[in-house]
Amino acid sequence: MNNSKNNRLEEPYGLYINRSKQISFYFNSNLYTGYQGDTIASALAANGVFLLSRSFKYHRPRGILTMAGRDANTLVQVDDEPNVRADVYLVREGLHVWAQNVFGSLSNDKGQIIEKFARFLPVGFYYKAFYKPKGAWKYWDSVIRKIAGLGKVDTASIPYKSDKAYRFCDIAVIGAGPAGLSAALQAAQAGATVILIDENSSLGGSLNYTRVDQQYSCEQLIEDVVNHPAIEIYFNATCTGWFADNWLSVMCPARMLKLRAKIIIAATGLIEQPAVFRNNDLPGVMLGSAAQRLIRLYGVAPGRSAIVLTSNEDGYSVALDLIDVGITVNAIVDMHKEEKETELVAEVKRKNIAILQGNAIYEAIPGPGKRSITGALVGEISKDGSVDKKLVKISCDLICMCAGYTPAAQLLCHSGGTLKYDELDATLKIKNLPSNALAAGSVNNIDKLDAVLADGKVAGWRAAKKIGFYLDEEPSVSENRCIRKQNYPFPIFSHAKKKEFVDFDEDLQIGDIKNAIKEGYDDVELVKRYSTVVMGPSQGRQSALNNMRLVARYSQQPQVNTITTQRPPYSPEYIQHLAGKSYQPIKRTAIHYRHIEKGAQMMPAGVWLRPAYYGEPTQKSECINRESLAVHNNVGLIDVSTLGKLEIRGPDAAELLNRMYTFTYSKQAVNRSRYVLMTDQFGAITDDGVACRLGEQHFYVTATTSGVDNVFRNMLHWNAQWCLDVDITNVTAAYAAVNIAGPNSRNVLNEVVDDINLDANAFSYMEVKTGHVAKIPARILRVGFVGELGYEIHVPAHQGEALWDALMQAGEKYKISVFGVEAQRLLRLEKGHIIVGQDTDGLTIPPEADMAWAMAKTKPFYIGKRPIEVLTNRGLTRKLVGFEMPSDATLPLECNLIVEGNEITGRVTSVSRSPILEKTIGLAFVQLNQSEIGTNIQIKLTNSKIVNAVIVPTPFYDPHNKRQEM
Amino acid sequence: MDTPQFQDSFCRSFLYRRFKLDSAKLIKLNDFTVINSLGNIQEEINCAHNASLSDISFLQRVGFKGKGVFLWLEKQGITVPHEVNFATCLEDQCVVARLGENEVLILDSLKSPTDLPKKLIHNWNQNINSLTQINNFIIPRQDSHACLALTGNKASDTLSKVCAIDLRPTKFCNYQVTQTFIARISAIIIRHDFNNILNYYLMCESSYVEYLWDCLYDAIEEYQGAVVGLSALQTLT
Repeated sequence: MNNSKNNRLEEPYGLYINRSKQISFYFNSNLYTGYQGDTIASALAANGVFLLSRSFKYHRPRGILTMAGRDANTLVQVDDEPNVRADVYLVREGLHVWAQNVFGSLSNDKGQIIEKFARFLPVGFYYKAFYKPKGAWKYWDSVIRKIAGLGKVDTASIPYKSDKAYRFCDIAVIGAGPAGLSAALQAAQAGATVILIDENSSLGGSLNYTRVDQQYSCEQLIEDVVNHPAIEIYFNATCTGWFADNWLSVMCPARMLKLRAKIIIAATGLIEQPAVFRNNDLPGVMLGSAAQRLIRLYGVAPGRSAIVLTSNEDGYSVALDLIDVGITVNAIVDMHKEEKETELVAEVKRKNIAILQGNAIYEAIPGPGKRSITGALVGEISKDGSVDKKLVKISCDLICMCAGYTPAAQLLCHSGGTLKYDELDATLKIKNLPSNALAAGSVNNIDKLDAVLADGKVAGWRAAKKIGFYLDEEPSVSENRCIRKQNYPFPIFSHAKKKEFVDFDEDLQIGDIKNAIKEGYDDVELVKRYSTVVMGPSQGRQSALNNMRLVARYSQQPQVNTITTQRPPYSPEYIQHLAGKSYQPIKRTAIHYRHIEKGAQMMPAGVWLRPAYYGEPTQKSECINRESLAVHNNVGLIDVSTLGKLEIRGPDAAELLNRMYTFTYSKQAVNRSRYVLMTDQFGAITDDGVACRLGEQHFYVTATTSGVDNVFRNMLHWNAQWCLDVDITNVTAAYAAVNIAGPNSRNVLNEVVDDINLDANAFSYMEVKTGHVAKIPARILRVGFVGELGYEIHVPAHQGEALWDALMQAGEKYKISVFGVEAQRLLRLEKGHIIVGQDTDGLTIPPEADMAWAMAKTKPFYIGKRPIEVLTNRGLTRKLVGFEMPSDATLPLECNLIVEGNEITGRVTSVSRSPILEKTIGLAFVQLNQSEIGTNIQIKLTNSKIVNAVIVPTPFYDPHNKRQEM
Repeated sequence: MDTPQFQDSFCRSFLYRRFKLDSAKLIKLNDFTVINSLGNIQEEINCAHNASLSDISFLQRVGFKGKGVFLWLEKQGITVPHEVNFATCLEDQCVVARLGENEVLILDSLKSPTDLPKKLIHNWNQNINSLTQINNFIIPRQDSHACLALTGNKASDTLSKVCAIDLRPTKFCNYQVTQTFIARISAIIIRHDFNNILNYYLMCESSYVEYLWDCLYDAIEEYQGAVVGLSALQTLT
């Protein structure tokens, strides 16, 4: 066990850790211990391990920078999960953590040799280097991928279950620091429901780790928030995006929440910014707030002797915190020249700590292998902003950077706000917030704690008022300025030997930004895209501000005053959280499990599952042939519950059908059914079915399985304009339906029907009867889609299975067979019946499909009538025809082309081998001159071979329809 | 008397194969075979206080649509809610939900079935050609829709995982109705609490009910929810 350096501090430090629960874990195969509540980084730091990773490009050693999950320095591989942020990921027993992007070991990464060639690898070099000669990229691609890899994805790993949930509230408050807490409480007290979101495991935000005066203790505020019934708190939850209509994506540990609020308050605080100097990226150089987080949240000393580089009072706080835990502070390097006397400064002076006013760090001095630092070279800042070369060497193993802040305003930018640079305060400020967004606290550039609390209160009050909750007078705004400026205007100090990093993620130095500008990319957005600055995992949180400063200075455009566009997500998201649980609706008929029990191979038909055929897939053809022959020769039963079904009722029911369909229905007799063919406004066929007249004012209309919703919608749409006195109801789900077909179908049905005379004369073809089948109330339609004597029986859906059982039982003595969709398709093809959508396309008008018989000639109007007439008068160019081929010919596929020489003249729409006809039959669109009976056509197969077929009349089978009308 | 089996009944819920029936007690009701209890009724009652899911597709229901519906229902002694997307509970615990300006859904009482929907269907059929029937169309809700009960304190949390509507008890009041999507399919939701225990009736197309059941069952597991029978629900009402 590597535990030679114990940096663990005594209590009360370590708010997040539970010292009674020790945890063992592995980092690069070495065993370490930490406490429950430790992150990987804090536990390793407690064990004296500060080297966590290697940088993306130069493989430079990297360690803790922010301790807040806001940088790429701490990315590690945890078991099968790459790119885990070690500074926020909690350790657990037996965890295996690995450094990633390493060749060899983490401490002796062979990849660091790349740094020696850095001068040959300037920014954008890959745009120019790897695409010549032609084909070179294929080689370089694999090389670069190996070098630049970030972790390994285990494609075999099983993701944990993750779903999504919706949440609602009046006011969402993002950030549970002092401003967020007071905003939430104020809003809740006004009567609003509030959801408070924070990415940490406790309330209080920066109060938990910064040096706060006891008078500002927020314990009571926290208690009030926790106990308020109208405030719902989400810990460890990160709001990653703010979308239209106040839609927030909130990533919780196990799921994504889709939160909708009437108004949103962002109390997201500040992001501390690094200074830019040589070797500012090495382990041991970290933000002041990172050191404070280590101390207060995890009880870990970030070093033994320190230098604090600062531009604000917070640097003095950090120094005092370090001293409090026994760390020697060798100097405070204050970049401001003028000294301001504050209580904190006075306290530091009382501790006899050297304060170097108007100085900056020129260089951090690396230790062996650059795996740590041993000191810093410090010099005075000259008038031009560079560091004077009269340098002082100060030893240390820790540099805390307190160079200023930028508001954590990403979410506010998603909402429509903009960030603008304020010269006076040397910081970005949020502007142009939409009316549904409020900023509170330090994100609003408010510094003092009492002012932050007051600002939160005001935001809570204003938010509540905006949505109708009113509470007395608006709270007063208190003085909000800190005595000393928070930000240093240009904390960027170039070095002759470079390695002053602006963007740690992408290893970008001052010179890289300069070079991008020299290449002509003189806008922050262009510099970003050329150099990749701010494009890494930290998305510019630590680099955007300094990059903007560099672009403004080196492009000599002082007017550059904003950073690149902020887009969701604010922080990394798991794809499985975004995907959540997948909902793919499936409809099953009432008879579904009877098909399964019979060995059906189910197939999707829109959202329905239908039996394709019954039997083994290896014997598909035999099954289909057997099923179709059973219908021809005996009796078969198919589940047709998926058919669309509509009730059309009212005085104008027939008139509606007259307008919606091509036939005429006003004179249709009661208890008769009639074919319906629907065309759209352009005359194209869109659906078909039958209309059964059950009463003078009542039609029961069937539609295709996948077309019924569209038919229903169309009817509602048109009738909204026509205002016919009619009710249209989609009753597809209300009825189960079967089709019993074949010469013996009447015999089987007679076994279970008492109250309907099924004789041919009493119940003729296309007639409709209502009665009972096996005591189940039923509508029985004599229709002939499959071309044999047949009855379509519609019963209440919950009785569908009982109907099936009764028919199967009654059919036993006739050896009834079940048949599936494939056999049904074959049977209808033998009859030459079209399937809308398969034998028609989006342009097919009825005459092309040889369905002029289904169009009423004398009717004044139906949808599509006029375009059909115009197109027909203009002359048809193609026609749907039947063709046949010898049974031993290679079977074409649907959509194979009809060709004439090199010209495409049509396509096959349906084709099958017919066991009853013992030949291959099909339907195809052909040019008009090929449509004559007896014409030979050529079909080009998928393998480009040509096969011959001959045009024949349809129906192919039983041309005089004797069988279905028997 | 023999224990009834699901397949003895002409009317069968689409879900009847989904239940573990080792210790279940089945009864006949409304031409359906119904799960009265899956084993321990007290455990089911406890579960229903927290989170439970029940198939109550056997519950009689019928719909009416058209401009003449309210007048006709008034003559049948039924008062329709004044507002669309609200329901009322009749004295006999039947629920009358107003789904649109001229559309009503009537559910029988879960506690003590009254046959009201059946009687209304009978009366409607008797008067089918009467002038009082003008613009009054029956909707076969018994079969077009399956019916589920999602009960317990965690019912709204469960729904929040599958439905984008704010159905929290504080926002979606008792007897409020919404016609929306649950797990991407359209559904009718009626809040009908059982003596201060949160309860939603969920109705979807019967052909979708297995799918919806799976979605809800998956969602309710997080709250240790379980399936309960009719008896437990009746005890709560």
